[in-house]
Amino acid sequence: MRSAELGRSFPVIAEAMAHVAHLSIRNRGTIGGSLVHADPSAEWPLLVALLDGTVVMEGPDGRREAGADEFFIAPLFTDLGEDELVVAVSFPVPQAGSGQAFDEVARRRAISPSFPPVRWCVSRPGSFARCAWRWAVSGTGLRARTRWRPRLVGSAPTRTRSPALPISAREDLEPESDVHASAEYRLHLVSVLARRVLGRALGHALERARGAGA
Amino acid sequence: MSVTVEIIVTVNGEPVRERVEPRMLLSDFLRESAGLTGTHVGCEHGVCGACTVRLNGASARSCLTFAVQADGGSVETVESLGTGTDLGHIQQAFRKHHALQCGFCTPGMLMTVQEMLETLALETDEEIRDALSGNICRCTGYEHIVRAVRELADARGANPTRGQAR
Repeated sequence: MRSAELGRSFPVIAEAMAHVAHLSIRNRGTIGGSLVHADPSAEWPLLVALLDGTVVMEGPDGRREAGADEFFIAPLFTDLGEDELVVAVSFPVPQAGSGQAFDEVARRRAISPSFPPVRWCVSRPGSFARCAWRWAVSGTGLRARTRWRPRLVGSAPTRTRSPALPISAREDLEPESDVHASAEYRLHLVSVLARRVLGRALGHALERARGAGA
Repeated sequence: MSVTVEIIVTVNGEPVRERVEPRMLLSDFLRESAGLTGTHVGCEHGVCGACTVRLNGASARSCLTFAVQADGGSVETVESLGTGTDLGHIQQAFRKHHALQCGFCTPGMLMTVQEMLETLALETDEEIRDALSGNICRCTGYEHIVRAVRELADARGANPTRGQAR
């Protein structure tokens, strides 16, 4: 959050970090720990999916790498072997002219498998939009459903066309209803957050384009 | 035979030397090796906050920390705040505002509040609630806890030695 360099290339990371849990987790939590825990409430797994990050694992058989699709199997369940450690995570620097934004609706800032955070991230590298989203619903903890879906949209969204994205974003979501929220409400949140975040990401991209031209 | 490791942890100012298994949790080390049962163990997976202690000054879940991670470091537990006959100022505020019912979450609340008072501005009650969001009170006595913290936060101006705003 305090790194100027990170703020320039990955403003979405700085933005998302403001949502991370509470004091003790901020004091002691690590990026690798968040990734291997793969809690549906955590920000880092989403960021790895969004930003095309690579998780580097090392064990007795050597090093290997995995992207979000491969690494995250299910909530609280990853591809990490029992004799392996996550030793690094890397992100390609986003293309010039990209925009990023993050937003989240959660009842409290805490680590909790039973709360249903809904969150959206958008980055816009070059001529297409790439989005990762995931939602977690639960009431049964481990049964929480989570998805990361980078989705390509044919051409660059504009301010007027951006509402199309949230609608397409809902297509393959199948949240469950539970004591915390109904499936309908969660889908509604996805649309609302998608609109908000896309607008901000576009604004951010335009701002950077102007800055680069000046 | 399991491998054990000798560690020295300064607990509330006193060195505690013990041979422990690498998998021993800091919470178990504090309760069993150091004999300090004020640190409560609730969920044992980092959600409830009852086991919160200060590790090298920063609040930490002692149930998510291995004792060996604290080797050479210092830990403050709720016992560092005061005694049954001589309550510290945070404990006094909790008593005054009835900020505890069953008391199970209280040690973790107190240790979190101590850090909040040192590191956060706490200008609004919302900020207090946000900072307390990692500590769960099953009695749901949050209103009174927030009142106690409000008074403590406001009193800092009058007595700057009790922590400063950021």
